[in-house]
Amino acid sequence: MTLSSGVATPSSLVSLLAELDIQLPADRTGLVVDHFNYDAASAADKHDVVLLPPPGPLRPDVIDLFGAGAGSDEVIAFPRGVGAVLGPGELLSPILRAPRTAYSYNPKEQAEVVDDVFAAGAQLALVSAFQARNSARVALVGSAEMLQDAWLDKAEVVAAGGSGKKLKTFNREFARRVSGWAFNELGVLRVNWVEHRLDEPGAASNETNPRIYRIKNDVVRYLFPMPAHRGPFPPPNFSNPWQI
Amino acid sequence: MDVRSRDHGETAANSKSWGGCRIDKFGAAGSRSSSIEQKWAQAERPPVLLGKATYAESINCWKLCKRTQLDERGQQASLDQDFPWHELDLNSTGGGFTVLPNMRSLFSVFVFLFAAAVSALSTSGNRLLVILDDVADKGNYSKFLGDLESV
Repeated sequence: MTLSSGVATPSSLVSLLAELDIQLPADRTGLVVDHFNYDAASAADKHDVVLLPPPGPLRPDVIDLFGAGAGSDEVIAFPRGVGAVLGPGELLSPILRAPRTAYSYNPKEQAEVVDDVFAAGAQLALVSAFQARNSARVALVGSAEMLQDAWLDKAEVVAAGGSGKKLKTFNREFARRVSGWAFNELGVLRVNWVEHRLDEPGAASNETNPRIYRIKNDVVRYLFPMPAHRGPFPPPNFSNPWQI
Repeated sequence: MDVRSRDHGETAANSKSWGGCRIDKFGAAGSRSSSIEQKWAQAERPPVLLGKATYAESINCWKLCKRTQLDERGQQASLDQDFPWHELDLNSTGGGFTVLPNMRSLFSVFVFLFAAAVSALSTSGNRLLVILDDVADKGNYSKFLGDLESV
C-alpha cells in the first residue's frame, strides 16, 4: 500500500491501517519534510524530498533484508510522502524511519506556521511492515512517488548542506525488496521436514515422530534440516549462528 | 386462456386461470401457488422476469394478480385508473426486479459465478493487481511495475 501527501488517504484505508495499529495524521494528509536532509536539486525550497541512508537491520542479530549491498554514495529518496506512527504491536516493524530532524505537518492548514506537529524524528515510520500470525504481510510505503521512474535506477540527487555532493538513489532495489517481502519472496524460510524421537535407551527411542511423549521423558531429540530459502532473491548468509 | 383476454373483460370465474399465461414457465413453474400470486400482487411495479416472457406479458400477469387480490378484499378493482400505465414502456426491460422463489437458484448461480470469478482473479499468481487513481500515472511507474512482472 502506498500513500501520497498530494491526496488525502481514504478513510477506509485509514481505518484499515488503524486496525493494524498504524496511525496516520488525523486530517488524513501530511507531508514529511527535513530541512537538513533533502534533495537540493529538486526540493531546494520546500525540503520535501527527504534523503535517507539505506536502512540497516532492525536489530544487530537479524538479517539486513532491505539495505544490504547499498553503496556508500547511495541514498533513498523519499519525495513528498506521508509518515505514520506505529503502535507497540509486536507484529509491526518499521523498515525505514525518518531522520532525527524530519517532521510531519499539514501543508494546507499549516502553510505559514507549524504549530502542531503530528510526529517528528524516528517516531515517523516512512516505510512499515506488518506480518500477521498467519504470515500474511502488509507493506506500507509512505511515498508513492518514490516508486516512480524518476526516482529509480540510480537517479542523481544532491545532498543539502552546501557540499553539493551528488548521490544516487537506492530506490529501485529498495522497492524491489519491499515488494518482494510483501509478496513472500524475501525473508521466508521453510522447513520441509521435522524429525523427533526419544533420546533414551530402550526400544521406544527408535520410534520416529511418536504421537505422544510423557511428562517424565527428559530428553527429546528434535531434528530438522537447515530451512530452505524460498524466492527469487539470493539466500541469506546462514554461516552465522541463528535462532528459531 | 390468455390473461390478455381477462384484461379485455372476461368473467370473474376465469380471473384466476393461469392457462396460457407464460408466467407459469417463469413464476410458479406450473404450481400456480398462491404465494406467487401474493408476491406479484404485492409488487409495486410489474416484475421483470428473467426468461422469454416479454415485459408486456409480465404486466398482464401482474395486473391479473393485483386485480384478484383487490377482488378478494371486496374492493373495487380500480387498478386501471390508479396505476400510471402511461409511464411504462412495454418495449423496455422495466424498472423493477423481483426474484421469484424458483428464480433464487438461478440468482444463486449468478452470485456463485461472480464470486468464483473474483476469487480466481485474486488468487491467480503471486502478484497483486495494482490499482491506480489515474491510468495515466501508469507510465510513471513502468520500471517498478516491470520489476513486479519480471519476478
